[in-house]
Amino acid sequence: MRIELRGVLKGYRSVRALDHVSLQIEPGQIVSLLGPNGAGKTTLIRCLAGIAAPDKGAVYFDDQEFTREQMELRHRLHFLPDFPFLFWEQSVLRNLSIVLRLFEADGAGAENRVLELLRDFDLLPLALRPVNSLSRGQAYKAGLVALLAADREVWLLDEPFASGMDPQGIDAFKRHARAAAGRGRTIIYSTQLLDVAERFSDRVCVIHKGEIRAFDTLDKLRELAQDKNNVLEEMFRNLREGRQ
Amino acid sequence: MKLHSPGFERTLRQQVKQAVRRSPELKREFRQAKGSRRHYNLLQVLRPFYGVVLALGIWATVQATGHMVAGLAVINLWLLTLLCAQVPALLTRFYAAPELHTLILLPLSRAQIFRWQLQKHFRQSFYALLDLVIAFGALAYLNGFAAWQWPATLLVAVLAWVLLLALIAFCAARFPRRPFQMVFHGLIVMGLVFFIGRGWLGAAAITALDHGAPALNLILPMGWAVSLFQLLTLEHAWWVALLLLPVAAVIGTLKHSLRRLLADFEYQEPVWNEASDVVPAAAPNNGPETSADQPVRLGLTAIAEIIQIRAFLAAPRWPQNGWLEQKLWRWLNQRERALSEFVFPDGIVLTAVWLSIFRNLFITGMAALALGFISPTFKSGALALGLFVTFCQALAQTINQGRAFQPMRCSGVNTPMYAGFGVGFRELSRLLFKYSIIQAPVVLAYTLVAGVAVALLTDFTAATGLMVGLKSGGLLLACRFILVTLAFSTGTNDTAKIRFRSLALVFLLVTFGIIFIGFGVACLFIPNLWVAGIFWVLALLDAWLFHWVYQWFYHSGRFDLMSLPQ
Repeated sequence: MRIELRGVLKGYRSVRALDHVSLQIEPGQIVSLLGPNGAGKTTLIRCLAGIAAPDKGAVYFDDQEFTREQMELRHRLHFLPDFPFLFWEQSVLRNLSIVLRLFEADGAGAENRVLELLRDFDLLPLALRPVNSLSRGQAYKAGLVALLAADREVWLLDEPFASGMDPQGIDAFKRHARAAAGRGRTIIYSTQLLDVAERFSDRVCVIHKGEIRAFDTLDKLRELAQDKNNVLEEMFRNLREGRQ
Repeated sequence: MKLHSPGFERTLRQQVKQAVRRSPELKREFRQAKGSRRHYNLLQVLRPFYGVVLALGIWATVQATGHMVAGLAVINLWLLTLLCAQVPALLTRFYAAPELHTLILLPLSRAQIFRWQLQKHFRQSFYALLDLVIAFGALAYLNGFAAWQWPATLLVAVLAWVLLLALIAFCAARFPRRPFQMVFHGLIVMGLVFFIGRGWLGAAAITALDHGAPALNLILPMGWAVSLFQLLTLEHAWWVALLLLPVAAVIGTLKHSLRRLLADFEYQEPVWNEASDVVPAAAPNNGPETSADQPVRLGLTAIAEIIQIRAFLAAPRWPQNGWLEQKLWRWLNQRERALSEFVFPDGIVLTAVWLSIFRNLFITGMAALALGFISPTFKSGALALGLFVTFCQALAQTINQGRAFQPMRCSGVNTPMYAGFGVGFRELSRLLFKYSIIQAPVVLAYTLVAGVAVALLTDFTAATGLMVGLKSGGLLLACRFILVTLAFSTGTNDTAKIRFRSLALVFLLVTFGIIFIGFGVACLFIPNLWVAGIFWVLALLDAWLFHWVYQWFYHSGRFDLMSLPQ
């Protein structure tokens, strides 16, 4: 699904979280959102998920303006915040069944997909336990498994690498995300980890004070940078010093 | 108790101020941050005036009855309401407050965190003391107290407040799972019903309160301290001094209750040993459903089998719970069935709850009949208590919103559950309306029976009771449109910004709300059934318009589906 933001402006009282942001994301890409704290990364994800309403401008999915009435568009994307939306007293498996049914992804083959994902994320032994008995990382993995099993066209993830997931989980997520991008899924995630963004994204979007400062492939950004080996670090240094 | 050094904070504050003054950019950011910090909660702003409302209620009651005991009963009922509100609040502060996530990361012992949270609870409860001081002050004024009696009045107020704190801690420690919230909402609704319908119900309610006041003040523990006020009046009822004994006993439990709460105040991730990977002799009958108390412990092979045979995706079993559930399931379309699992993840229980409500109503009737042979006051008391309990149950069942609007804390804001999964306004509303409509026959049956019972209690004819019961049931169902709308509104920041749209929204909703109350009151009090029916239809139409107008604003996408935590 092609995503486009046209002049999106979003403010919280006197703070401009997004300042006339225009952006185009083609399907089948992994996009990392980078930026200092309070730059507007989460707001951008919330606008895409329909949770935050832009004050001006609009979000388009496949050239169709996204409004709250268009539920068929909303069902094509899945949002996973830093603390996943789960029924904490229900078991992991029950949560999965609720999400799958909600996204109408409970058809034939769902069981094999769920089984494989639970194995990959080491959640199979915990599948019948209530989520509130799991650690934060395990609970996040439960939300992530729901997202992967529902397999929507657009995945929106807020800080997935700061969620307490173990290296095994992070590795499994990257693997599944790469495969999904290959199938045409668009994955947009925010992160503060520059090395992760460098290795795990097709395009990097740098936001600062609500403005898009850079949105390109790493190779292109490297061409513009002085320090070719530490492109993103240099960019952040420049942002901090107000040079870019 | 402080979690920081005041000296350090002072120095830090000074240095930050100096740094801000020196840098124009920081100055600008500081101004912006200062602007975004301002939150006004109307209920909190109005809180100090609740005592005045209570004092007015007491004044009106004493004037109408001529008995001070009736005024004391009003204070007693007020304290019961506060108790029911404060017990869940205290439990939330200890076990579910958002700041706990931060506090546990600090180098603090759990006892220190417990004391910190408790301190906040006590600070908040000073409003209750203020209410009591104003209320007893009003009674003292009505009694024309001399100067020496005023400090003693203050002492009674403080004693009642301490007793309330002790009872809150006791209930939180001993009965954490009792439906305090439900009783609180029931009391508030009953209070509103009596206020709005005071022209019709007022005199009967005041008479019932006057008759039942002495018993009420003795039965409810809050009344023991409140009754001590009688020692200060001219009709010295010295036996009241005996109530000091149970008051002291309850206050004495405070320390133990707090110790008990502290013992349960544990932050630990439960550690589960791996279940051995054995295939059980029979597949689990209860499928994948588990409860927090008794999680299913199975080995990997058994869990994998549950998944492979799609047991976890099997249709829910709640439609087999009873007749109403079956009807509802048949009425729901495919999408609504999926939504019902999301909104009611524990399943829907209708028939059993309504059977329990009618059983309680029957028991109440029988008990009232039996007690009527001993005393008419006991009969009225039993009937009133039974009606109140069943009314709370019926209200909670009819307006149940499920879990879709539950706020989830993520990235520093509260987002309602439905917004996270992109569940639409129309589909969710439709499901909740169907949930209520399917219960309409039993709701009407309940209100008809309850109407007759209230008529018996208030010396009206059974026919009047039937008519009022029918109308009340109809209005309760019409309210659903408004309640669902308000549930949507609660999770958003629709009125956070002062803009033309927000003001227009508030204006329209308040107008429709007032019109609904007007039509509702007209429907209740106009004796002609046909004219009353027209007003009911108008009230229903108004409630639907209330919902429709909000839906239009919702879909226009000018506010966020999230709110800042207060």
